[in-house]
Amino acid sequence: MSLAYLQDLIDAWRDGSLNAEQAIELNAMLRESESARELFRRESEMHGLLHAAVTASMVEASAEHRAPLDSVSAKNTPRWYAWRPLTAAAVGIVIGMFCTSMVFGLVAQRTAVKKIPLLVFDAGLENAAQTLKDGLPDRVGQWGMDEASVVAAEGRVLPLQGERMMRLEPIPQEKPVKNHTSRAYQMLDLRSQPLAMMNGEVEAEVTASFCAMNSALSSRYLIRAIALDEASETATKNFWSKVESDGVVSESQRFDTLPGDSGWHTFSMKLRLPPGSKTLVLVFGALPLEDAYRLPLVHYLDDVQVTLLNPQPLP
Amino acid sequence: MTDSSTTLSEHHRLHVQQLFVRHQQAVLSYVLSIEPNLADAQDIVQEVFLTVSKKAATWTSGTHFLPWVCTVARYETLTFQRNRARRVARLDEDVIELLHADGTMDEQDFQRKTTALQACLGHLAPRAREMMHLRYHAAQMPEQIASKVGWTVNAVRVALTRARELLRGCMEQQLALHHSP
Repeated sequence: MSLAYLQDLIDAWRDGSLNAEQAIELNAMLRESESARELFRRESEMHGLLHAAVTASMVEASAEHRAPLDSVSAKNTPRWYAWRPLTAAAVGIVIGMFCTSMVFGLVAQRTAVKKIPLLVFDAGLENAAQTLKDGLPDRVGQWGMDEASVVAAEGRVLPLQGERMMRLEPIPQEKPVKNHTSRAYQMLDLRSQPLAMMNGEVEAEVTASFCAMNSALSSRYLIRAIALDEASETATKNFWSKVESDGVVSESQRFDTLPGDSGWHTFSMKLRLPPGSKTLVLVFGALPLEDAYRLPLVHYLDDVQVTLLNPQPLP
Repeated sequence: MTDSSTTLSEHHRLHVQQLFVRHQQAVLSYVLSIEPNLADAQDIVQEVFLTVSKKAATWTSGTHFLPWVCTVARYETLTFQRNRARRVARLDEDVIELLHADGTMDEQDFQRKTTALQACLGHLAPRAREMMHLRYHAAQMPEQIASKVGWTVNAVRVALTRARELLRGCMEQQLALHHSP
């Protein structure tokens, strides 16, 4: 057995250029010789280790060099869309159609998107025995809420999937809080995601379904995603003050329903994850719109999904 | 099954999923040692996650997690290669068994080696470092790297081989240094 030739075959295996004849030779060498197997183990282990080390170093370098301006917090998001909603919507549709065709043209030529579902704790809100944390969760694997419970079907409202859903209680107007949206929260740890993905091009797509107990009233729903470069163990400490700071990227989207829009409504939003993101905090909220504001209106949340969208260059 | 036992098994499954997420990079590294194509390896890791979630009950808390997952990963890789068989030229199953049957992965060993390699990457010449990034981060093959940097494919292969040798030597030195009394 020539060591140099064995090395060539291993290189070809690793680089995807091994042909059928070479594969037969390599298999035979590995079957026959323990020293050949030892060399192969060394080389193949190194291949995996190098991938891990190089991607880790890329992520660290990206995180260190990230300029503060890269962090686009919600406070910087233009507010024009909140003004004259119908005009904004019409403009949005026109711009959207144009951009969609442009983006589709570009993307179709150059990239595909790999979808990687993230693990959301009790995504279907089926576990009635779980303890819901009051306010923001302080760890991964926990739902937090302002005023909520996991319930089975109630009246005409059936869970969208499974046997249970989350009931979001209305926050009374007289309660002295800044925000009367009834919210549920969850925190995801991004640190163990394949580091190669954290290159600044990955988006997190958050999808959730909402329903109102009384569909005769208008409702406003909210999905917000907040990416932090801080570990999940401490991410939610003094959270709301951090949201305004550098190192935090936030995006939120509101969705309104009209009176008579009955049943479940599924909404999605996306957040581009900056390199070095370690924690993703999700906020799901509901409240009655202004005309129904004084009426206590119960909402429901079900079937939460989070997917990482990773653009892949086409060969 | 009673409600409490259902809840217990749900908790156990969640615990297993959380452990998997924590060890995901090590699992990917292990799969790459059997299936060297990065995109395929990432697909396999997703399959491993699903299988591990389904078979969570077969893992006992307190026993080593990574060796168990690596065994699942090895079988998933074999299944993947059998079913998809994109490349005719690959290792036979009996050879993979010979190579990996008793070899699993130790989390601490993986972390030590990865950290050492990360430090060693900083010692490479800029051009060599760029090549390692193209090969291992952008998952480009020597032919693609050659056209990007304007070298011959052979020159790229030689440069990558040298860089790997340097890194291996450096990694072993670092590990020896940290283990010396």
